[in-house]
Amino acid sequence: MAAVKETIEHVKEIDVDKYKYGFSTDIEMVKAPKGLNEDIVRFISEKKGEPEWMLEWRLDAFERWKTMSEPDWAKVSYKKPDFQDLYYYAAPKSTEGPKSLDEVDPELLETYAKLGIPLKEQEVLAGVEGARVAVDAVFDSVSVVTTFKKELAEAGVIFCSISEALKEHPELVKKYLGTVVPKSDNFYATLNSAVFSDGSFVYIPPGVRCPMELSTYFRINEMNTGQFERTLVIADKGSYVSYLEGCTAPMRDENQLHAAVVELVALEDAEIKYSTVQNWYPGNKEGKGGVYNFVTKRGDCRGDNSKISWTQVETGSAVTWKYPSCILRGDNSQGEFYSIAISNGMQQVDSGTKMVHLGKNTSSRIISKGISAGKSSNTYRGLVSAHKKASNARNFTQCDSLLIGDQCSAHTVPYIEAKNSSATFEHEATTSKISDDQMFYAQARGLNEEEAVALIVNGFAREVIQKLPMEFMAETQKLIGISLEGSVG
Amino acid sequence: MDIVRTEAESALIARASDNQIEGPEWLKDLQDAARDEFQSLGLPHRRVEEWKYTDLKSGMRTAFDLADAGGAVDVSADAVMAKLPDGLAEREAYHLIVVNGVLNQGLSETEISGGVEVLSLKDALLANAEWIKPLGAVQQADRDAIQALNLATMQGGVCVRVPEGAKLDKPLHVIFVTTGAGPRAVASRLFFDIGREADVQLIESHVSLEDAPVESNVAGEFIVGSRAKFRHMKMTMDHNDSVHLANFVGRLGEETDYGFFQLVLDGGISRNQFEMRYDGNDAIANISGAALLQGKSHADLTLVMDHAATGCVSRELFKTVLDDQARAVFQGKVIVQPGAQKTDGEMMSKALLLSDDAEFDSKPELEIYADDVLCGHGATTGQIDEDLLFYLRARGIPEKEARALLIQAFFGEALELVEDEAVRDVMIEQAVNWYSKTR
Repeated sequence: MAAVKETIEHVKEIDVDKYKYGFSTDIEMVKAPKGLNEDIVRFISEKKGEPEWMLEWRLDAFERWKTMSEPDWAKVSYKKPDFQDLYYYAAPKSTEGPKSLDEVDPELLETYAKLGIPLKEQEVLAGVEGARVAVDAVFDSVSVVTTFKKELAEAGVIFCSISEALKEHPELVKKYLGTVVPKSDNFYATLNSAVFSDGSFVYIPPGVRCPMELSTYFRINEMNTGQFERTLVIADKGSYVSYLEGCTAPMRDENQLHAAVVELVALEDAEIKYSTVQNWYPGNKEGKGGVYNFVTKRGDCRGDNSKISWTQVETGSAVTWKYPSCILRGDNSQGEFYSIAISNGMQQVDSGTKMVHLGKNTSSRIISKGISAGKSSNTYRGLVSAHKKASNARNFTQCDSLLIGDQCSAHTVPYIEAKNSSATFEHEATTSKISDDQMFYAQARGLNEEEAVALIVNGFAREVIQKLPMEFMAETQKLIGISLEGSVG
Repeated sequence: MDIVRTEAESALIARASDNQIEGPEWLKDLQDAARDEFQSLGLPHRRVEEWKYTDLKSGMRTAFDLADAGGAVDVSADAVMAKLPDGLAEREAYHLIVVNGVLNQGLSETEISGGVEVLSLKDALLANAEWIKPLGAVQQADRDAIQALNLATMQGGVCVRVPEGAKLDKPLHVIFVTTGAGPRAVASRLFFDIGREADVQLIESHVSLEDAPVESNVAGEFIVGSRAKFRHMKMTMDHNDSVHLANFVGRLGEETDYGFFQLVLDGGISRNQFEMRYDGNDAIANISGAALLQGKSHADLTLVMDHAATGCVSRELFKTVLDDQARAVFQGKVIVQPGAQKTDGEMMSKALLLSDDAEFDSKPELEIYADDVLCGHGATTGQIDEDLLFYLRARGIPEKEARALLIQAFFGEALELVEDEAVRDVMIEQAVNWYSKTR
């Protein structure tokens, strides 16, 4: 069973001792005082020079948040964060915004270099046709450098930090912010609405195919800094965008909270592809430290014939709690969810998706691959529902779990709700080691045992890996240092 | 903080306080605890995860009066048999007639060869025999509100002890009969202690002498010894405004062979809940059923297969046909405890929706703590396949008949699992009759 061993070895590589992205950078930070109250919300808003309505919006969310309690239905257990013991705002200290990469703090660039983010490389690549990836690099909470803005601007694409968007395009932000994930959606989304520090804003004008894949790298750096990113992607009629999000975090003893909100809006005939690689610090062998990842991600297929596709590779974080979802509102709209979740050590993952079919002839597809190792717990939790008026709704769901070792656990919790007779829902879930049947099949075709096992393990997650954009596929391998799929890429 | 109680809840709490069954001290403690549990839990509602899709707090507006379980009820065996579906009364069996929750000794055949003991729950409790003591404690998990309510309000029931190696020559047929003017409530319990290598078949049916709604709460506890074989078949013939709440908990010993099948036909709100625990290695359980629902019927099937031993097999197949505004719920959970290696679990739930107002909600769950297992589940929801319909019509079969054939083929796959030929035939006939009532 060499390939299984190989997989175990690979998975081990995300273990604490080998967590090569566990470092921290000494850069002076400007911080808001610890704790959370109305003044902090005002402080954040003022720091960002936000319009009055935005402040009102935040305060309203904060008022609502105070009445909410932390959800406990997910199959995860952790020490609840003390919300008064966190910093809600941290920004790198700099007098003026850098005008080029040369002006960027070299330490910051070094950080990215360690992460393998080719910011410098971008300049080299800039001259190369067809291989351009714009990076809205986020260092802690504030966008420090944005590249390729000009080229994007020529296409009419707006890609900037959300605080910048609030200054430059307030009407767009006002129109779409909170329309997919309402400000009082859930405990963490509401908290985010009150204190979000920054994030990315993307607007693709009608009929435009975004000339490059947009990419943001998140990085949690300063100790005890809650990260409250807010991402808003709008694809106007007939447009297309592929958005990449990747994360690593430095090693820290205390748990770090990340409660992001991502909202996607796809209007008529538009398509959004959103890919994530998440490799935050998972904690040490005893489960100490590590990032809490409580994210609300939701896409709204608002227009007819629109499409939203989520692809995620989850390898990090001590506790993950996220369900990228699609609201299939427009007729003929499509939703997709492809996920690989790898858990090891003491990691806990409770992730999945929701496909809410509202429009006619909507279809959705869910492929989830969970790989559980060490003493970790890996849960798929999903909802597929068809509204009464969602005639001909179609869903296919496949959730497969692979267990490595007898200390880990894998769970599947799907909710399937059909309120329409023409809805066709299919759900399949399996949990296994490698089956004898598969082995027999492969061996009968002349492969030896080792090759057969390698083939099966490699094949397990392939459906999802193949959905990643090329740039990300390579990045994924570099970032997480594990490759379940040796033959891909 | 004041708890707002619905009218039904208040009535049920009063019922739990007034109706303690006579028995030993340990039972009193158990009933007191159960009553307190129900009082604090109230009726389950959609915020209770296990009851998300069956909200009794809003579904059960009023609680019916408890049916008279005293000796005054005058019922003849013939009248009861006449209420059974055609063919079921003819199936040779030891008939055990439970009238308004209490085993009626006069109407029942309790003399069974091979040393099988059949006692009414009351007698069993009064005798306080050692084998009855696990009563109320067979289940591992905490009681939910409905389980607590049964324990607190049970009027009677049937306790059966099958000695080691006893192989019954014919099935035990427990007929739950409700009678009395107007809507009535009953609470009853089955307790089975099946010895090693015994072979028992149980037919469970529910009828009402009058055409009136019944609120019934049935609990069954089954301890199945090593290498024993146990078959359990269930049919309810309830009025369409009835509420039927059943809970079955079982412990399966080594190499046991357990099979359950139920046919649900309309009948208002029903919930059949299972919690089967594999205590011994290499046991097999097959829990299946079909539900055919019209009108505003609501049928819930909730199932927990708890694999605590190695090498056990679980198989579940449920077929549901929904018409009109009917609603069905399937919640099935397979748990594989740490160390329960070589578990083989397969769960399948399929629903056929005939109307746009029907609703099917399913939640098939896997909870796996061991690595060398093979577990899977499938759930499908759909309508009649137009291609198949076309195929049949192209061969000269009129549309209505073609539809009927396809629907029959759909639920037939499940009904074929019933091993007892006579019972299977009864169920098939009932199912076909059900269909002929539809358009």
